[in-house]
Amino acid sequence: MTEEVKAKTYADFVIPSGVVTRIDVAHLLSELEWVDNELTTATVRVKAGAEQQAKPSVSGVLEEFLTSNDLKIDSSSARSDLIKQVRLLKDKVPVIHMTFAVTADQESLQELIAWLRTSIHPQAVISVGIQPALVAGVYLRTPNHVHDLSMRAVLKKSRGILTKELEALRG
Amino acid sequence: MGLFQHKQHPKTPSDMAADAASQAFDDTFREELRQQAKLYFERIIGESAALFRHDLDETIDQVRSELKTHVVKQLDEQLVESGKIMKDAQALALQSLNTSEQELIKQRQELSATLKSNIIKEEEMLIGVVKDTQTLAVGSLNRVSKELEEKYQSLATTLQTNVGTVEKELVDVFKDNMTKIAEMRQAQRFALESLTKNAQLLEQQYQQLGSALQQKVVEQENMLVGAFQENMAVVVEHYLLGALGDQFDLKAQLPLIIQQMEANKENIVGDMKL
Repeated sequence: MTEEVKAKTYADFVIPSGVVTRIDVAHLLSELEWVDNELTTATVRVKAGAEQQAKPSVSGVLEEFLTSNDLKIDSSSARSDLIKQVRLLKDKVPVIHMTFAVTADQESLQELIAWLRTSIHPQAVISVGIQPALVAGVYLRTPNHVHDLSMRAVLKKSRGILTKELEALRG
Repeated sequence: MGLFQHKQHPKTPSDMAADAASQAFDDTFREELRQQAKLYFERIIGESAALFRHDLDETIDQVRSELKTHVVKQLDEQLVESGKIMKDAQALALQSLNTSEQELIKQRQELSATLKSNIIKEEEMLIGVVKDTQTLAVGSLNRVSKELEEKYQSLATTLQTNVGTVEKELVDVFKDNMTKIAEMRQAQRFALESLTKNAQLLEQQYQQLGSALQQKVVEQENMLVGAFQENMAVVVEHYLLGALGDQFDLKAQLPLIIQQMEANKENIVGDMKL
């Protein structure tokens, strides 16, 4: 079990669909640290003679993360390795900044992240922003480029047509 | 001494008389006598004082009357004497006044005589001086008039010669001026010609400027119209942005977004790999 965890690095992790942004990755990491603390404390208490306590309940996202990556967190060393790798994942995860014209709902974001992970990068996360001036579409910023896929850009491109129309009206 | 105090001596008659007197004239009797003597002495002194006062008053009255008479007498004498002195002084003063008046009259007469003689002398002298100056003035006037006449004659001759030369000079100047006027007329003609040329050039420049200005105005107008059209396009764009901004939620936009991302998929993947 421990050997498997050691063999898996952050680059091999499958990120669940519930983890959409880098903040979600940070939440995942903090939950893992909390679980590690709880289990370590319980082990020390058992050694001190206390009764065995139930395992701490974890969130659905963490559960999905553990099962999808086939990870076990029974031993202390496994948890430590996992926490280390998740920290690395949080720092190295590829982030795509997406600015929308309207507020983004979770369902749409999950749909988007699913497409991104299948088409662009399996570990991609997004950073969401709002800019109503975009009208519709998305303003997408990767680490090196900007892709303006908004309606504002379309209107700007077709401004020449409008000018021509006005000229035609003026005669 | 005490031992021999009570030694008995034989008494003399004077001692005996003194003892008797001391027995007869005791203190009381002596006091009475003293009082009587005092009263007597006082009375005598008073009477003597009254008599002395009376005598003194009489003497003073007598001295006063005598002094009065003496003073009156002395005053009368002095007055008489001073009257005499005053009369003498008046007479002397009158005499001196008379003599001084006479002297003054005499002096005045002398002065008037000398003054008259002086005036006569001065008049005579002045008349002489006037006569001399008149003769001198007449002489100088004659001389001056002669000089003036000579000068007039010389001036007339010089004037005649000058007029001749001036006339010649004027003729020369007139000729010069005529030539100059002819030159000036020519210069004026040249100037007029250049002015007309300049006016024509200015007219041409004005026409060129007018055409250039008109062209500029047209260009400016076109530029303004272009800017207006550009701004109008921006206005229309903003209107569209405002009108359509809230019409579509993300769920409705999602297929379009994915479609566009799909179209740019290769570029995005390339960016992520870099």
